Amino acid sequence: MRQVRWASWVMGLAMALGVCGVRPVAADMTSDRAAAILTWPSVISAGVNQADILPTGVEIDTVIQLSNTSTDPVWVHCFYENANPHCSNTGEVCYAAEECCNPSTGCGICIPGWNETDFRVQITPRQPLGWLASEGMSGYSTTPDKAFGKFPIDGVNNFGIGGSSNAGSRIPPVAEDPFLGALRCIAVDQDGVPVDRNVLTGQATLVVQDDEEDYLTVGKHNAVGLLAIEGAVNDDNTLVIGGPEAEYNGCPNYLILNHFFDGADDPVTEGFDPVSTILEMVPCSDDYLRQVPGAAVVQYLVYNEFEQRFSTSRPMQCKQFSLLSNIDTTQNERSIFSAGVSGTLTGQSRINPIGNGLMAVAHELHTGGDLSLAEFNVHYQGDRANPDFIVLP
Amino acid sequence: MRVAGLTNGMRFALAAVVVLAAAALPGATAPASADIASDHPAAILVFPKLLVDTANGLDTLIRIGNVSDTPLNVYCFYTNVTPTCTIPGGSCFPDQLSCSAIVGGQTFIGGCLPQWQPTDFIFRLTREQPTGWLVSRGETVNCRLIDGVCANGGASCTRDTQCGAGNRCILAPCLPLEGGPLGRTGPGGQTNEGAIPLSPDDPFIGELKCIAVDETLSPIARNDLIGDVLIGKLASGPTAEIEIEGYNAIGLPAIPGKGNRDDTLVLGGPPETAEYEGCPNILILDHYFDGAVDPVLQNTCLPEGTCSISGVACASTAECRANRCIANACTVSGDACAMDADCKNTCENEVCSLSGTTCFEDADCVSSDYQVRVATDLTLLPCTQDYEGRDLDLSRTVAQFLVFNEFEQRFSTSRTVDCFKEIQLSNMETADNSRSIFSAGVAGTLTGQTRIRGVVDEDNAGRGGNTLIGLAEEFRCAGAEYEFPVCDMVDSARLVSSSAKNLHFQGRRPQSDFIYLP
Amino acid sequence: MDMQRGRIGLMAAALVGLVVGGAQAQVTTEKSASILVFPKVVSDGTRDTVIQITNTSNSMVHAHCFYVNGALTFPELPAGPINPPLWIEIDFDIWLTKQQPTHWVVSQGRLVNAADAPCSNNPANYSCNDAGIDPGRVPPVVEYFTGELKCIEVDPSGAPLSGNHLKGEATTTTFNVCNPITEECVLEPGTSCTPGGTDCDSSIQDVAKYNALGVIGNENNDGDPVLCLGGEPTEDCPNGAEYDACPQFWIANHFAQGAPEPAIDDDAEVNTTWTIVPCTQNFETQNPERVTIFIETWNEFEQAFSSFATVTCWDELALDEINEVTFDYQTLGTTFAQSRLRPSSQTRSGFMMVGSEAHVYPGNNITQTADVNYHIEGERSGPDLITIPFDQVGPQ
Repeated sequence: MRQVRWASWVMGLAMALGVCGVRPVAADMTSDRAAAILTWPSVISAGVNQADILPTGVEIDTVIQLSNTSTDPVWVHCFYENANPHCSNTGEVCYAAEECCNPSTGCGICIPGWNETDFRVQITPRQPLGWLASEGMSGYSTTPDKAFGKFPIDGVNNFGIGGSSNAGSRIPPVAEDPFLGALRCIAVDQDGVPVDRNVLTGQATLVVQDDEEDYLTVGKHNAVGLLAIEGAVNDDNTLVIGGPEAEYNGCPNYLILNHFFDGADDPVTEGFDPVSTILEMVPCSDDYLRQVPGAAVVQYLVYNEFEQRFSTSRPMQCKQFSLLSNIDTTQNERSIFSAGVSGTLTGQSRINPIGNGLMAVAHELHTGGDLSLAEFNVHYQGDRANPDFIVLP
Repeated sequence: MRVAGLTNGMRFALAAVVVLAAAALPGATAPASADIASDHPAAILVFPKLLVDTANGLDTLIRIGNVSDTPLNVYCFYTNVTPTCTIPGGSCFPDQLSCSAIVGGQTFIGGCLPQWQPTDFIFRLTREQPTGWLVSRGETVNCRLIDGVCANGGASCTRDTQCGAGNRCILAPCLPLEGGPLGRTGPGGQTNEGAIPLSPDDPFIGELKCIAVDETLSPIARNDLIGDVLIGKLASGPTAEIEIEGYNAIGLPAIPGKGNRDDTLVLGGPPETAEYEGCPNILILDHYFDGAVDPVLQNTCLPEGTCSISGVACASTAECRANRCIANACTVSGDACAMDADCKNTCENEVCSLSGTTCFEDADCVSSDYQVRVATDLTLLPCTQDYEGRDLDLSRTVAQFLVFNEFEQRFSTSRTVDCFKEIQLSNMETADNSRSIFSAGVAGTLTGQTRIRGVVDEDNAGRGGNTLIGLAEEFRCAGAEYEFPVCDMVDSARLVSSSAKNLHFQGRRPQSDFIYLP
Repeated sequence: MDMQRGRIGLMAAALVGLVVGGAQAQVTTEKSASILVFPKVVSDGTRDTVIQITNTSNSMVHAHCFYVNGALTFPELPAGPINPPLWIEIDFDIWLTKQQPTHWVVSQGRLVNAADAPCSNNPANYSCNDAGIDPGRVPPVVEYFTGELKCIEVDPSGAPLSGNHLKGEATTTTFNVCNPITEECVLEPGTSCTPGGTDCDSSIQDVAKYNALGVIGNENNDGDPVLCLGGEPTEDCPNGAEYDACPQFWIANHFAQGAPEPAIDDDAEVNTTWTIVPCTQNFETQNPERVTIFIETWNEFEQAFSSFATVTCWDELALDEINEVTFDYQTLGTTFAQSRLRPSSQTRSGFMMVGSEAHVYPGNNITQTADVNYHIEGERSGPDLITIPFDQVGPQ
């Protein structure tokens, strides 16, 4: 009896304190919960015959999935971020400096770029959508079997719950072929004003195939979510991510990546099958109005299985798509991220951005025989003291 | 001030308390005087210049020692300043402005982009322990597992006995006290920890900075580190011999009791905030003017019939100095020839035959005689460095040079030091060495004194003091008289000898410099 | 008076614990936690798994780990009353120094050997699987192992601890060998083969990776052998929740079973498998927990379907094994679907899951998989209990 009274007294006080403003700890970025802002840090597409970039016959594409987990419709305002570098002499897309060399124009410089394309989608309750980055989604296919690449509910021939539909939605294909970039979607209302509805989930599946060589590999990761703080999202076009006047939970102070050191032999397969990891990062902050991408100086603390620590840093802007062992040097075998330098098979890298916060996914490449790809989301730790900002046009 | 209600005795006591309290305030007691130096143990060591080019036999050996009887953790930063070529495969080492590379079978010319890339690492030294490593190889705690190389043949080995009687198994440097059931420990049970990575690039030019820290990696005021560097090249000079130069690390002593153990190291400045001794206000370099003929080193004919420096066969010293034709090549200039006359720098069609300069008569063409002349390279680093935010604007410093010759005549010039500047003196203000104020022909005397001062940038007030530290290397380059001497450890075909020396320091400045740790 | 003060002090401490420690949060795949769950750990001759665990703190961390083998008694036969899952557990301890990552291959385990050669460039040694500070003696799993791994952070005495210092990943490598049961090459669908032979193209391999599911611990942890995941104070959990609760809902965005792979032409299709383990586990009594799962599925037309699945101890279920109609592409009519899974009201345990998508390319005879962590929503009222044998908790 006494115990019950004690428990109820305590619970009452706890509730009172909650009303009086014991603020719950602000949760960080998430990749396993529905959120109001989703970012797919890795969207890659390259059609056949990109001979300068890929072996002949190899195609890469990304299947993007976006779902509404709530029982009400939601509108989303999405931004493709095109981070393709271009040659200074030809304007062609390039991913390596030597692609800018040709006999007629000499060698140019492969200059990083950033521009965005935005679009709007209306998603009905519980509805899952998916599209290919290279094709987008347009038109309607309102009866089963639904044609891929078309919206299912047009609001004319069929309706969702409560009369909702995908009317007015259109998703363009990515801006260039090949394409290296990211996608960000923000929950908004009918008028395009951001809302504090944590209802969106997303995934990206990277498919690499070669028809002629009978080759296929896939990797999948979750979109990274920023949770809206209930009641905090105002109607201006500047979304405050974290910090003292936060509208959305902040980006983390640290990203933690468990990885194989580059060049380490896969311990499972026979023969020498080196493993390497590509780290793909985008900043939390972006100014879509002035077309200014976020930037940060990224500190890396690298621990090996001997608990020995190395570190390095590298500035980034807009996007970083790099083998781990190219972060600190162009000579992979001399990198602190290489197995030969670090001394063990696996390591932990703690990534701390100075400047804007970061989001990341990792691609693990197993190169024994045919290339095999696995993707995974990184871990997060801590809250950043300074806010990030997403400025909408 | 009169304090009402107090007796005289109480007032006296109060005054005494005030005096004692003032004495106890930070800054009230003058700290022990210990300037930046390269010959005293310190808490921060700076190694201004490291070179690696293993393909051409160039490497750097670093040695660091703990002079105390307690273990010490060392937190070090390599900074890679090797410029990067815009074309993959091209090399900008050590400080090229352009580069070339073959892409798809064609040679392309690219540009060289500056780089400032830090990599840091931590290791522990036990009591009184010295250690050393080759920058190209690094060092780890795994001595037992590293194969060495037999000195007499290069075969792989782990013990001397594997290399034959009287021969050595040369092991890579390692931290030997790895502990554990199979490893060694120091006399007090102390062990090494950590690992030192190899240089991030090869070829590589950069600097190293090491800081005494505690177990939590917080900077600690322990002036227990000493360090020195040897830069060596396997085949250098006219006779392809080993060349070595060395210098001591520059030590920045900590001020006892002043550090707040945070990630911002305050070097010099106001006594109440300084955690380490400050970098000097002025650097002083006594040097030969570039192009000066070495007054001591002469290419003389040795009794065995070879020239002492060039190694050419001779009968007299005059033959060692003259540019003669032997085996269809001029002995000094290297030009193709059929007879000795072809090796004279004469005026033909208003162009000197060997030097290519404009002339009207033979007297206008400088002789092609063999000379050993001096060139000095200067390496300068800003004291303020931001490893956290990589704000290179904090480091950027304009260096003012006041140059005095032996006539007490003065020239001056200036040059911006971004984050690392390694340059031959006579290229400081011009690409034409012979027209530089640092060249003997312009300065007018053999030697001079240069005072180097970093100009304070008011935009960096409170965040950097714009002082500089550095290193000088003196190279003796052999060649024809008409050639301005240009040689160093990288371009060493004409290098006769090299030596490195620390600069002199003078004064302190009121502003602090800062090292921002990540 | 003193007792009054003491009582008030206890109340205050409990209040702080409830307010601060009883944070509304669920399992995580992206933050350090006190319990790591790897639902899919496979070593069966066709697949092997590499486990990576890291201590994200600056102090040493201990963990007590359990392999739970959910393989069928007779793996080559279908499940049934006479062929139940084995539910055999093996446990071991690991220690990680500050910030130390570690790894092992489940089929090999990891020995403690100070003479392990490190990786190096000179001499070249990149086959350095055992390099590093060995975390402890990790046993290899049995020859045919399909199950889960659970690691619980403990203090040096072995008592469970809410340190929240662990994170982990699991990498599954599938070899293109001949499946002895189906006599088909594992990654070349439709290619017949002789078990033990060389009919299968060994250059084809498949790698998939997922993040371990983390259960965050709170200050209420009393260090006893009963770990309370969520819930209110009860007799077994006098302090209430010691760890965050298992989620109430799992949200799986997935392809319809057999849906055309949109990025590949030529009849490629996607098949999805869910690996599910119960949250409640009693390692003391060794009774496998049974959980019934209610599944609601929506297609892109927002049309809803439902189905059930039952999992005892561990199961890896293809969608068409759960319900060969509900998830089928022909039924759903759209490529994508969203499924919400929850424990049925009569089930006393929550569950955890990971997904695996197999992209089958019949035209070129290749199968490749990608593992995926699913989304979660809400928390169970709980508690879910993990009961460790009392003699494994406490001074060792």
